[in-house]
Amino acid sequence: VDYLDLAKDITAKAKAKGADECDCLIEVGSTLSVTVRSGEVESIERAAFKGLGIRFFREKKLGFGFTTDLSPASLDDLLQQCADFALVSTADPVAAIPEVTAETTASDLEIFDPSIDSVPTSDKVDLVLTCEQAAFDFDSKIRNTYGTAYEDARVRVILATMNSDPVAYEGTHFEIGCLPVAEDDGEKRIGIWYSPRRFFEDLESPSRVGSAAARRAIDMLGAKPVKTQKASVVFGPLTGIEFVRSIFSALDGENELKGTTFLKGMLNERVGSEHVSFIDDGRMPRKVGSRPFDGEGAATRKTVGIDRGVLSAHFYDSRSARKAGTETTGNASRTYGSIPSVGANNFYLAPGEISPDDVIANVKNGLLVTRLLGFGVNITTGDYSRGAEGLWIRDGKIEGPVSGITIAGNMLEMLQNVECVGSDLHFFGQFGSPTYVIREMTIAGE
Amino acid sequence: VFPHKEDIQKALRAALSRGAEFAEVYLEKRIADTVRIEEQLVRESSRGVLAGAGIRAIIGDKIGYAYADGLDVESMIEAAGIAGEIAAAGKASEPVGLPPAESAKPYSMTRVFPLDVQAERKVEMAFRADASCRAYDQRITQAMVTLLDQDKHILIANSEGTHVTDRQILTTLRVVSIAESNGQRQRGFRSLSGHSGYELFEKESVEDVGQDASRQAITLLDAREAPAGAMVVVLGNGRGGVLLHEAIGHGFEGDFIRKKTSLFAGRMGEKVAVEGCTIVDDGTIPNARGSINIDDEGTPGERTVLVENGVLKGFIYDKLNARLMNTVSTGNGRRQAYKFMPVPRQTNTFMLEGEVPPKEIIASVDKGLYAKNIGGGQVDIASGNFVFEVTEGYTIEGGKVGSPVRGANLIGNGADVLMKIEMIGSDFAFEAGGGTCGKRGQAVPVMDGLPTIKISEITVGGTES
Repeated sequence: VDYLDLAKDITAKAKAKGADECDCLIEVGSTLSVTVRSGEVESIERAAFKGLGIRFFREKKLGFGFTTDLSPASLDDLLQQCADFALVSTADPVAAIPEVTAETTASDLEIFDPSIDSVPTSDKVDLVLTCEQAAFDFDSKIRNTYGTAYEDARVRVILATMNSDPVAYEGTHFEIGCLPVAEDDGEKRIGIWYSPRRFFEDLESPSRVGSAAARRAIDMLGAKPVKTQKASVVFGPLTGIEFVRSIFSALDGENELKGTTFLKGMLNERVGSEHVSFIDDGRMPRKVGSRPFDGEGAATRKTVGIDRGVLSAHFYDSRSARKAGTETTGNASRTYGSIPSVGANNFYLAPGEISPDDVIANVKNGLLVTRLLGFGVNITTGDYSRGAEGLWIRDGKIEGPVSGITIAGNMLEMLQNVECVGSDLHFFGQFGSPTYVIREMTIAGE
Repeated sequence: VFPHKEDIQKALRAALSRGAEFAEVYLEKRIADTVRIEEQLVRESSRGVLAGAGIRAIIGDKIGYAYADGLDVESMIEAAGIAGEIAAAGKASEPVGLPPAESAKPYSMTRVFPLDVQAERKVEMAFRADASCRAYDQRITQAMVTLLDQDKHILIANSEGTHVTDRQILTTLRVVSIAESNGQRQRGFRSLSGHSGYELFEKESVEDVGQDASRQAITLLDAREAPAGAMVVVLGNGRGGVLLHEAIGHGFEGDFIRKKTSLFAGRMGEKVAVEGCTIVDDGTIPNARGSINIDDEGTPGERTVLVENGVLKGFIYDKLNARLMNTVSTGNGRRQAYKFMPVPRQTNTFMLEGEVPPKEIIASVDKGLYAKNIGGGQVDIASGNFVFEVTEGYTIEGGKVGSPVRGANLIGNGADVLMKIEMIGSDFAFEAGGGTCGKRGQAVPVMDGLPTIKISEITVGGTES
């Protein structure tokens, strides 16, 4: 099947069914995943996947449909259904299919690694086995894992609209991760580390992933709650990305328009300390969130959302941009099964100049968070309360493990209280974070 | 809808061709419609079709899995070959001949099938929920309404001669309400869901659901910051059951038991909870969101007692983990869709009611937190530590429910909490909305239930010390 032709053909058929605007997004690719347990392969999964989504507009009314069944009869049914849904929908004056503005070559982004097909599956299996063994070798208290896995995927994205030639790109994804369990005298603690990358050769070595995960589990043995108090909170990259992710939602232009973000109406105002700059950049070579164009064919770019503490931009897809009277920022996130919404490309907290060790050495009394649990993050109000595990820091030194506590605060205050940002920016997928310190949060424990 | 029996038999043979001991074909065709209202506009009216085949081949505890999108015979047999090749050992074996497909015995009857409801009517219902949500109070500034329905056909055939089909209807309404006053913004959420068609809304109208979302948002406008520290917590009936699902239920799932990663592993027959505490997982409750006529391996739903009067009585299993533990499946092998292998999952999980009137429970607390509504939660299976968001909570002072609080999290340990239950109420209820449980990247619909219970101590993670 030529998927470029298929996508184009769908938009032509939509026109014949009365659409005045239409686009078609196809994703097609393959996946492999391997899990091991106690030195043996536990499962191998392999699949070729495909799916297609249609946005059908008639007089600004949208009907949307998607399917994994690409047989001609099924596609005809779906088009009819889209037309029917468009009839009963309401006209949305700001909705439209935008012009495709992307250039079609993605080579400078380096998002496709041809070695996905040349590395034999047996090597990939060995990689996971090595990873698990490294966790076991790290300490004799590691005798079990909650899972050790490798997965890779290649996906080709094709987008066609009624008025332009189809555009496409292909990307690869590789990931290895380990969740060892440390056991001592009936106590069980889980550690985690993982490495997602665009290129196979960029993966952290399996033994490093296994031992890093094991260290995090061992470090937690003997953890106890601390007394309820106010103290500093330090996030390393792995836990730091979770607050970073929440800041993206708070800067989402659609949330701004709906008034569902605690940063509502604060454009060009100081919202954080001078240490915080948050950036979205869809064009970083070899990064997981890089792609030549977004879900609507808009070229990706670099946008600074918070510039040294000042809210400098919101992130938009075409609809929210039109509504706000501005331009898209190339942040339309979309799969074949969804209509576009605002989403991150590569979004990160910009690094500072201090080494992570020095960041910790400057903390008098606080918690280095190694794991976060639960939800408790309310973008609308800014209320933040999450379960946490970590290591207590006193006078710049690690004192011991802590668990069974929550850390709580208000996200606007958290932004304002970021007092130190490390130089160690590290990406886990689309989100990246260095080590950073929030001067004071409420820690609830005993 | 699905390929013929002979072709399914061919796929099973292909999956067994490299020496697998067990092969299974899972076929699915799901039609899901969505109407979503935002800012008083239809943001989405859509049809989604998920059709495909998932094939599993097993040797010992090693699994080969492959899936194919679409329902064409060629892709299905090709996927079966791939699964078989992964689970390769020695000589091919022959599958048991398939009997004619048998329809699952339904616990959940449907009267008004979603596909028989006009799209126009779905849009109109969503707008009614939106209107009642906004009309509740002048301070409501936004409403977001999502009406979802699905009509799912599945077929499961395996090399042991299982050959069953089922049709599963699921209807859901979700409403988010935003209230604003004096620069304060709060969010309310309510859902209604069940394995039934549009007769679901005869029990509770779309307007009622919309208003309840707004009631929560307005209540929270007056809320103060939640207290921080360890205290007595009373969990409200119905929605409080989420804690049971997360903090206790997950630890009873057969994969965690076999792999000994659960803190309940190897504790059958031991006292794990206070006397009077009985916890059940039951997939056979008519029309409930967590119910299953058959699970995704073809095993009928069951009622499994997990804890009886404080004593650990049972775990929940899929076929693979059951076999490796020398027991049988309890009908808990579930999967999100054909793209996933089944794993042991809960269905409807709940604690049976006790005898204490809920008023007496509140009256017995001098100072504490009343967690009426609980949102999302997460548990660390190994340690049993959990965290939950309290979406509607109140202080308890001098035996009376006091002012609303916001931003509270509950943090504790599942095993610990079971021993700290001091009172069990006489007011059992299921949560009306049900939930969606995530495990190993797979989301499945579940439901929880609880009477009002008093727990002598849980840490509340607020900001007010």
